[in-house]
Amino acid sequence: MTSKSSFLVNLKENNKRRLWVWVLSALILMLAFPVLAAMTVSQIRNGANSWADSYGQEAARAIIHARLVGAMSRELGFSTLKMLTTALLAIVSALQGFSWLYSRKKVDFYMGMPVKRKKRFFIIWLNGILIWLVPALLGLMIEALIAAGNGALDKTVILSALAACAVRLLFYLGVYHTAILAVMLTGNVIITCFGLAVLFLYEYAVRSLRMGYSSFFLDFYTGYRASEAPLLSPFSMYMKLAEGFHYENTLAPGHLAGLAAFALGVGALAFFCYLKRPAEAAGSSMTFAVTRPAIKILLTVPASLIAGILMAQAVNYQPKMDPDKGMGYMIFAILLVVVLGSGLIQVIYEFDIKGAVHRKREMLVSGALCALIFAAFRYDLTGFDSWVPAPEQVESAAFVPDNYEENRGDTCFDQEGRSVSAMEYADRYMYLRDVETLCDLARHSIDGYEQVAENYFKDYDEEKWGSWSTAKVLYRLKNGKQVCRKLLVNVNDEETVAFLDRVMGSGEFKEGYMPGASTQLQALLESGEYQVRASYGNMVYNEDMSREDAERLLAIYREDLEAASFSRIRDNIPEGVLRLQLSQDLPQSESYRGYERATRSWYVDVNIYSFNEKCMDFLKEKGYYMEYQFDPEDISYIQVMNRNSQAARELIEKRQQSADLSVEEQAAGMLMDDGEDIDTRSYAEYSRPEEIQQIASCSYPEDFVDNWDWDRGKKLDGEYRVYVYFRAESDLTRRFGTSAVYGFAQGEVPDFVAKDTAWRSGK
Amino acid sequence: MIEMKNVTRSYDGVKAVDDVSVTIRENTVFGLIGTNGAGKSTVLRMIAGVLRPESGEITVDNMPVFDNMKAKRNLYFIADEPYFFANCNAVDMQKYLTGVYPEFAVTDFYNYLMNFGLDKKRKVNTYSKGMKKQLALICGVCSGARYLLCDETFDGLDPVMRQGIKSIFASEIERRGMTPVIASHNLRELEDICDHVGLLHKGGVLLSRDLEDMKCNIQKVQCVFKTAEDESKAISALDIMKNEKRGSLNVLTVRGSKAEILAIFATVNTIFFEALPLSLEEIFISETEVVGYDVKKLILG
Repeated sequence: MTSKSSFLVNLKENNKRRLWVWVLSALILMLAFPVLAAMTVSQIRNGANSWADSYGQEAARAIIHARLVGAMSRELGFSTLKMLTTALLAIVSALQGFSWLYSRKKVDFYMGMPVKRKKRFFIIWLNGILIWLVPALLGLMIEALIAAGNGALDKTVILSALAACAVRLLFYLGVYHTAILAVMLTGNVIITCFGLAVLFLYEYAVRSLRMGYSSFFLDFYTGYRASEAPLLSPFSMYMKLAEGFHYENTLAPGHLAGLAAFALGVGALAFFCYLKRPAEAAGSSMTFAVTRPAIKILLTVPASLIAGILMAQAVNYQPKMDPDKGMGYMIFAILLVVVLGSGLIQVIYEFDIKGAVHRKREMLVSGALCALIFAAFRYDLTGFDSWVPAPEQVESAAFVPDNYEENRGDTCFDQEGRSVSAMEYADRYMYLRDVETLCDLARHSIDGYEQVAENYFKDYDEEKWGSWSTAKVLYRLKNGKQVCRKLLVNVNDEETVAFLDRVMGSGEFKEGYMPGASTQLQALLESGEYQVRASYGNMVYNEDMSREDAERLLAIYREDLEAASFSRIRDNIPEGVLRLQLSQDLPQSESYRGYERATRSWYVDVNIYSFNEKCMDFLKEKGYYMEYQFDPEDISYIQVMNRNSQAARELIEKRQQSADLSVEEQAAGMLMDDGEDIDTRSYAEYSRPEEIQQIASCSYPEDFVDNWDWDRGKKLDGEYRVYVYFRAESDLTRRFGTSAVYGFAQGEVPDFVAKDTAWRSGK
Repeated sequence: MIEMKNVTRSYDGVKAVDDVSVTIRENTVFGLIGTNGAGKSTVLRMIAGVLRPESGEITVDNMPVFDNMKAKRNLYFIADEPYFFANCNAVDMQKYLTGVYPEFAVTDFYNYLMNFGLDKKRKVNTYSKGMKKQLALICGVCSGARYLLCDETFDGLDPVMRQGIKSIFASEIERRGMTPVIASHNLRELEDICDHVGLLHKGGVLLSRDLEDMKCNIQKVQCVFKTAEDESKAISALDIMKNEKRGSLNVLTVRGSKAEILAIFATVNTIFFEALPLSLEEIFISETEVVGYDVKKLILG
């Protein structure tokens, strides 16, 4: 049995040989960080005079206090610099503590001594923790004293410091145990460093590789919910906990337990490897001969595949456009790295250059695995791209078009008022029940795209191959799994439009995609925690709206939404936009994501269309309705420019024909007439009120009519540009300058304008 | 007593020690001889509990040795290149060893240091190679361990130091029954220290004998017989291991005690007769030649 005094004597003896690590740790944690904290305090205090000049003594004191508290929360709390130094000290401590295992001399000495292996491990392990923990706690106390001395040690700072300290201890253990494991698996310090890099980065590399190959080769892969961030990494766990603390001011128990379990698990594994480690491993490359082939293959395969994708990028291989052109280079790069990588690792194993050609079977296995993985992605052996679940397998689903209805505000937010992306919003709040239609849409689109994909890229022509817009589909399967896929839908295809009308016309879609329709927005409005500002406008004119009117309009809009469908939105241009600004005042001392902010605001834009008849009636009744894009009374005159592109083409053709060139020469493109000197543009100016009014009724700003909108609906006529010149006394001049540029929607050009600006030769 | 029974150990598939069985009795100085790569260090490292045998059993005073503290307190292992802590001096080593060997003789340690002229305050990394070996031996002797395992420790020590160490060994053997086990590739290094020798070759034990037994049981005789009859009579009566004839001079290596051999020679007429002492080297050559090995090649190169 080990007596307490004998244990302490051993602990002390072990520490004598680790003095420089103690000194390093003390210098960083007890000197550098407190000095940094003092410098930060001093920097903030130096700004006191200018704050006092600008805002007065009282306000300046409050500002400085808030800034000090914020700064100390960061310094004493989840500081990235502290995380990095903690990791550094954990690695140094582990390597230094167990480095005796690298030397046969030391192994002979220590293992020959009458000290239990387990006891020796425990002494070194415990000292390795104390080396960080004792200076860390003392340093934290010094920093806390500095903060207290400057009146910046309040509940927030203390809570932040304690939470961060607890997380950093677990983080330290996670990194420390990983480093010990690296020592146990290797026989010298250089290989240990490589091993450590592999242990920390392997999952990240594999995840990146999977994402990279998926997005490179697969048509319907989406990166949503896919992340390179490793699950089994103390760094990513620390980051998640830190981020969670910034948002919630509490530590997520799940993540905390995850980090603790990781530290414990890796520690147990490291200890197991220590007990199994043979003494002759000292100085060799790898401790356990049995792991060598597996490790070689596990390193060579991802390295080769990464080389392949780098080569593909270097030669601009684009498998979705041309699956074969450039593939040879990619395969060559993969095979080259298989051979070189296997050879290099074997050289490291054997410490002999001749080792490069040994163990060819392992090289072959690596090559075969690379080939299999490459083929799995390149030829979609798993059927990823053609997969659509059977409707009876699906509980519910979400369908999220990319960049659809862009004018709907800059944020989506959840019921706690946190900003989320449109996809995350749909993920949480869209539960489509008509999964059969969605699955049919997916099947129809996948089959349709497969037929045109190659031609679509080679010869881009929407008339011939269709207009393919991207969306994401999230299938929530009955077995509990959730599968997210990209989908390309041909919005010009009638059958697709019918599917889209049913999917996007459903209440669940609107609830989960359009914040204006959502109960989340209603909940925020009803919470009373937000100040609301509302306006209605058409990008030029904006009318402030009372909160009551806005809420009433929103309620009416929800009733009207029943009439909205994909086709109706596609075939219409918004009449105007209801904009809601929700603001929340934050207490001055409260920080948001580590930064002091007094308020935070969300914007919600709701497009109002002519088919929203009840909305139209309400707007008219309340006087918000704007019949035209601009009021003729504000307009001095309008100039319309017609490019007359068809006439220009005809002129070029005519000139080519009149040139004295043979048919063969013309076919060979010897006459390169780009018509640069031909100008067919025609201009017409209108200043009479009735003309201005007529033009105003069919002119739109580009923000309202996006030619590349997801639904490929109403487009601006590219032939015309409408320059609207405001009256000098108009309010518009002050807001937009002398003029603004508009366009005509296709098919809505007034006849008189078309006539006035038509091309006439000799003009 | 240290017992190795059918012990086997290999590195990367190559057998370093193959089915070795050796018994090391107490109160003797055991010499473990073998060429480089014969497995001497592996045997010592296994006895010291540094390596775990793949098969077979090693016991120290009937206790298995690997990770057994009770058994290991009876052992002190001095590796071929002894390790001392970085920047330490003899005092630091003493303090550490006092912590792990409860019976460490502190007073003896400083006395020995003084006797050997080693400065206790001087950094060990400034010591010469020989001084480091002396310090390692002093540490081992003072540890209180009954078995002192020395791997090539005596190689390179000057004769005065060897004599000093030898006298320490003698007194410790007498005082507390210390049993040094000394591995060396050089027979001549061990001749004046060991009283039992084991010869290792290619991982196996060729022989293991008491040196005194070997010396008493083998005699070297130079003689010139008076007649051919005398020669044939004597030769047929003797257990001859080796017979070299240089003209009329017979150089015989004969198994048997000196008295027995003298008695046989008393029955024949000789012109010249001389019984010579055998060196350890000669004994080994004779013994191993009998079993078909050329020890000159094995050990002496």
